Amino acid sequence: MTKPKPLINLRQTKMLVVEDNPQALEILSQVLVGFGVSEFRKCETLEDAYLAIDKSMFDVMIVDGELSGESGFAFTRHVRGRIGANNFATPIVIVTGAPTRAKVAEARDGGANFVIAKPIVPRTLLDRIVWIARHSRDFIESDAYCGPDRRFHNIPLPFGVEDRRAEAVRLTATPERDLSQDEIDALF
Amino acid sequence: MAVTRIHTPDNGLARILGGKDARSMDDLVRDAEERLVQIAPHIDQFVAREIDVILAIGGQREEEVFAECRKVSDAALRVAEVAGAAGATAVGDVARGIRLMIDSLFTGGVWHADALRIHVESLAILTRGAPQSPAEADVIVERLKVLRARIGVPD
Repeated sequence: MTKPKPLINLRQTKMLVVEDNPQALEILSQVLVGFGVSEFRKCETLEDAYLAIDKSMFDVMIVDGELSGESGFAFTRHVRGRIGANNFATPIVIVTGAPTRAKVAEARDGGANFVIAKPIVPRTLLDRIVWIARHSRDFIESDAYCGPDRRFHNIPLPFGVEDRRAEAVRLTATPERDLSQDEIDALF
Repeated sequence: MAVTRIHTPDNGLARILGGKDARSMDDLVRDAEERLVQIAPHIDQFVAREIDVILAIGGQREEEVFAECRKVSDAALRVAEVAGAAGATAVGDVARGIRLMIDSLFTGGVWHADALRIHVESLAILTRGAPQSPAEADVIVERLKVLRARIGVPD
């Protein structure tokens, strides 16, 4: 059975939109106004965007992947690289007119939450926003990666196939079992 | 040893679900689409200006196209990003193909002059020639896609 469609109120949402194509910015603005978003900051350059994220907290940031000069992917890495700073963990949606496999991978590995192909289709954008609202995704901070947990899918093993760690799980779940010498040594 | 921290940040968007004055997704999408219909003439004008740039440069001799290919690529991207929002999906797809062709020069160092010219001429056919049916436009888009795949320009 499918989940019931939620009712949405985006009026109090604060959004940042970074887009250097004036017509694409107008399209995105009209779509957001249509969604009922009353407060969104529009930036046409990354310099403006960097100032905006220092000054204000946003609920979601929509960023063009192909900004002239430094790309939206660089912006994403910049935001995720400032651990603990404003908007460090704010969801980022990359919008791109050139959604090649390499760019999608770059966005994902840079810490973006979603990638959406341009031209923006209102339902696609709203679906992603609602998905983020409904799923409080874990956030990973490590030397190699900062961003939302990239493990989206939990696919069960095929019928009859046992998890390769099942034996280890059984062992560690049995406290009275004999320890191996290595385990004993590790306790000293 | 590197330390990995996993936590669940505050979800600022969670408050959009339900509450007073909440509306259905279908209603919000319909409002957004109506707004796009209203600005469609502006999108058409914008696309026409960018296509002028592409055709003007793309119609020159090969060395001149090569010299100004960055301008063509940027204009093509701007078209690809918006044309579909005004219903000109095929125009956007051909423009995206032009962008990919020129990108392959920057990333792979390969310049396919004839294939690029075919893309530019296809854009001219779609925008300046006799009106094409959607099915005919789709054939053009698909053939260009096959052409790019054959010369090693991945989508």
